[in-house]
Amino acid sequence: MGHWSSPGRHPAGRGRDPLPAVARMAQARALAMICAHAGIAVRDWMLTSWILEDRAGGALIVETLPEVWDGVARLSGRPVDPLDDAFIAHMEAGTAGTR
Amino acid sequence: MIRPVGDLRLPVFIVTGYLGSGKTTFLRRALDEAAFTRTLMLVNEAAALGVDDHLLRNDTGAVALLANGCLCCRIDRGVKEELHGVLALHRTRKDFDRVILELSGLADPLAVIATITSDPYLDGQLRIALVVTLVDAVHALESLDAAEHRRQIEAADVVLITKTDMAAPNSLAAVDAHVARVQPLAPRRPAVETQFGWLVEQAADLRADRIARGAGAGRWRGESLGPAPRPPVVAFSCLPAGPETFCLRVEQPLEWSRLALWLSLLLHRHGDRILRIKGFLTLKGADAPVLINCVRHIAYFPEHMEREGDAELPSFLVFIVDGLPGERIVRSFAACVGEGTAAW
Repeated sequence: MGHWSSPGRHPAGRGRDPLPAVARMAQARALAMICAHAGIAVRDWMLTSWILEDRAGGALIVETLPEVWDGVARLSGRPVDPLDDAFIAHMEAGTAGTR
Repeated sequence: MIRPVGDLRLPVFIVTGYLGSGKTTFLRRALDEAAFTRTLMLVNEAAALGVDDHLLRNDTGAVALLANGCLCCRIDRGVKEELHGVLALHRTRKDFDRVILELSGLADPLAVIATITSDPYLDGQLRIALVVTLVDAVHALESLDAAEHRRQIEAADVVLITKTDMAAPNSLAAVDAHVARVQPLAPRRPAVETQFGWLVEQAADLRADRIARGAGAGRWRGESLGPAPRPPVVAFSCLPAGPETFCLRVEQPLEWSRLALWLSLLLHRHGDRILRIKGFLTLKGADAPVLINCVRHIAYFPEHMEREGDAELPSFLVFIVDGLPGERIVRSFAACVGEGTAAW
């Protein structure tokens, strides 16, 4: 079943779930933008794990989103705060840039 | 009527309440109901030799005892083992199709919910149908400050007030007001007028309908799937002090992948100050809205709901937060999840 937030558990309803790989790629793009605020690169590995890398070459392999948040905090030295002004501005700017 | 669709997991009803609040009395009365005949009940007691299971044991329903310690202290082994045992029993014996978990008066229901939702096997097989919290109208005022008592009310989907016949009117009003302040989303009813069978029938409505009624007018479905320049998000404050309650309304279908990321990040970072997030959201590509339900750090798996005869409901989330800026939550949601953002 996996973690509730994994794209493989899309609650779309009977027969309407997007393909797991498509959902995973969408989540990977969104996740990459969040983690970029902390200077961490993130990419999917085999649809099952996330590889986190910092600029100094440090890396972690994790599976669930809570592990991603912990991993980003460990590599970057500070947790990502979704309510932080700078984070919100980063997301707003990224959003505007893709329009 | 609201009902979860396509969810074949075994429903679990959690009955919680502070010491002496009347849980066992309520369940003993319920044993005589027809709704109880296909129910397995797990009773959690702090004592090694249980009393409640003897009170509750009867010929129609199966009763098991989780003795020797509070559930919340035995999360790592006891509860998991018992629930795995229940599932093993369910595979071989098809004579029950719901489980009642009566927690001890000092148990934190969130710890039990977390045990179920964080274990991949249990989460795949069990669905928390309803959290029923019993509050004693006579003695509750004495224990209002107890953290366990508060957490039991926070986790409630419905609150049953017990001993209403013995309570002075001003005491009853004070208890009612306290419960409404701690958990404004949960309906409150006198326990004596509430049948267990009614709770079973109304479980989905109790979890969902009240928040739907409180969310104000709007469109249940977005008018189009096309991008909007900004998500039309509206926030308003409902309570002047204490935990802040506000509603975030969304008029466009959302991307599940972004919503899941944002909710996960918010709960991970600030779950200790999030008393509740509840609401209905319309997702892109989904044929019915989903019920979002979070308590503290825990998110229940979003349930795909079908509503009968109620097409005018808005898509919204109600937040009850303690010391978090609502305005910033709304801004963060808009920046991270909002419609019109082709990619992050």
